[in-house]
Amino acid sequence: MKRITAAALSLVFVFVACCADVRAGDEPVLLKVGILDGWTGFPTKYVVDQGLDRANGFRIEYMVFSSGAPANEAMVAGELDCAIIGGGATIPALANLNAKMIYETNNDTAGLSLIARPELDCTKVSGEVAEFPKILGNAETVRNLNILGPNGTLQYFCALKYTEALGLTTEDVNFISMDANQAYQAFMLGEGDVFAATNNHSFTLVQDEGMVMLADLDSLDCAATAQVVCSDRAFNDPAKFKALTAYIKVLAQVADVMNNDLDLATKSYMDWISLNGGSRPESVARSIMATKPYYGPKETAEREFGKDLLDNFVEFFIMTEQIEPEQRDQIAANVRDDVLKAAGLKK
Amino acid sequence: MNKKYFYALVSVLSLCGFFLIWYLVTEVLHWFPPQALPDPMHIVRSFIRKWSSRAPDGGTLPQHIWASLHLALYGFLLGAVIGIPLGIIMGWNRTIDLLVTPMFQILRPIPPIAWIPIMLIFFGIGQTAKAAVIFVSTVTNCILNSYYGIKQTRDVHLWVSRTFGASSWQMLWTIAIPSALPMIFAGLNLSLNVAWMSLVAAEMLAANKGLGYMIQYNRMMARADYVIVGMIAITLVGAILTKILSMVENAVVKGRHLGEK
Repeated sequence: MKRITAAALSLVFVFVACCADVRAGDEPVLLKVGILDGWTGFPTKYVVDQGLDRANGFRIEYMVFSSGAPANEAMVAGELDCAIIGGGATIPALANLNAKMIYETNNDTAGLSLIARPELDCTKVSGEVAEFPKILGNAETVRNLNILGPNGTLQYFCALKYTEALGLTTEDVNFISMDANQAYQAFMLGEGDVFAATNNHSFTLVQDEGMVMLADLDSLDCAATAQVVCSDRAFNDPAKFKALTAYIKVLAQVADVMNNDLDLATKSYMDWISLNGGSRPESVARSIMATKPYYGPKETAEREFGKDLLDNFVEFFIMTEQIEPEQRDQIAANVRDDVLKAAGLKK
Repeated sequence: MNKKYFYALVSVLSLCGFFLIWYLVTEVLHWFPPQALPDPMHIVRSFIRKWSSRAPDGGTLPQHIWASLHLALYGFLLGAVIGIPLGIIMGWNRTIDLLVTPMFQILRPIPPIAWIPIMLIFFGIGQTAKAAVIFVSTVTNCILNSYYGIKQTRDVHLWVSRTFGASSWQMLWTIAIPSALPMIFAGLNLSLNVAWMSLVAAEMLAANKGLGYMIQYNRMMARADYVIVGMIAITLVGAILTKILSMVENAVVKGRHLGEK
């Protein structure tokens, strides 16, 4: 009797497993996407909330990260197919993980800045650097300052660019690496002289706390973008490639939606920040969204894909010895417009 | 074969086995992508290169080791200097035991990383704050081992000394503490290991040098090889310090090897 029961149960399990397979076969391809808790993340949430993924034949499961580095690790571990990350994490992903950059989602320049305490001498000096007339401070007033921020990010890049613009080296200032939120907390507690901030904090620090912006990426003539970076594995998997193509196409459409509807973009942005435990004054959120940062189909077609990253970041990462000079070609080779072409966003 | 050599051989063989398995899963079976887990030879090359190269994290391996050594020892000594006397007093004096134990039991399970925001508020971002993060993880072992070391003093020894008119202080100094020394040293040993384990958390607070910083930075840069080099350096330095502590223990604790003899 026991044997018959066991055999019957085995048959039931096999049947259930077969049924599950059939269901899986019917399911649209799953794309596991890493998004950040800032403004680059919510368009993907919008795609999911509106059911635009399933309507276009794929399915998104997203995971939220506070920076690009752990998203890179998740891609290596096979937990993510792609992620929307900033330039600071994209360079190591392309150089060291053989990941592929497949789409620039938005202009990531706004708010990436160096915020200083108003009593510092450097805040009172302006126009001393001919090449970058909008930045404050000079070599004498900035030397030996303590700059707080997370290493290997766009904030760090901004700090290095600034010191370089003043003719200083990394040895002339004291860059103290801290997690972004801890650096903010420390800065608010009176630690450090300058805070290398993202738009999560820079606007409120200037508007509400009376801090002074020494420089931002705009004033340093340095455009930064956020981009979709996918793992080599996903890129070379035909089913995933198709899903990535559909995702990029939808994302470009959502970019237009956000750029053309300021109220929706502001609300979506504020909701996203709030969902991730932060808050953003509406005036700040609105002013950021008013810059129409996202790249829709038209902007994508017109832009020279990957130029900002390659021109601004790669050489700088090499100069600061964060990557080897021989990795330059590999990075360039991993900036791939195949998905854009497949999505009809590039000719 | 001499037992000593046999044990050494087993240890060497286990290490060789570990590296062989590592080599097999990375270079032969390719179970892991090289970006996630480089092969042992790659790590050896990276270890040698990092000895003199400052890229990409701005420091050579000796510079990182020195910064971490300084920090770990600072936190460890702070834990020992405060934890051992506190543990001894708690173990010896019932009132202090009742007074301190509840608070100690509440704070004990909190991991070092959770202390970071609090340390930031109290000590800022300097060396003291990082040492304090290490201190909270090392002091626990020092307190616990000293406490139980004192508690385990044989009653018969105390009775005899009391019969001969010894004061409470004399009983503590000449009987309880010497008999608790092996436990205290075991606590120090554990604390030393914990101090090294807490480095990553401590250097997360604010750093621009140190092995924990090096690991975190290279994690950002997706350099798994340097992350592993940092881990190996922590292991090696930790092992050297443990050996030094064991030598001190041999010199200080009387009759430690009586059982072996």
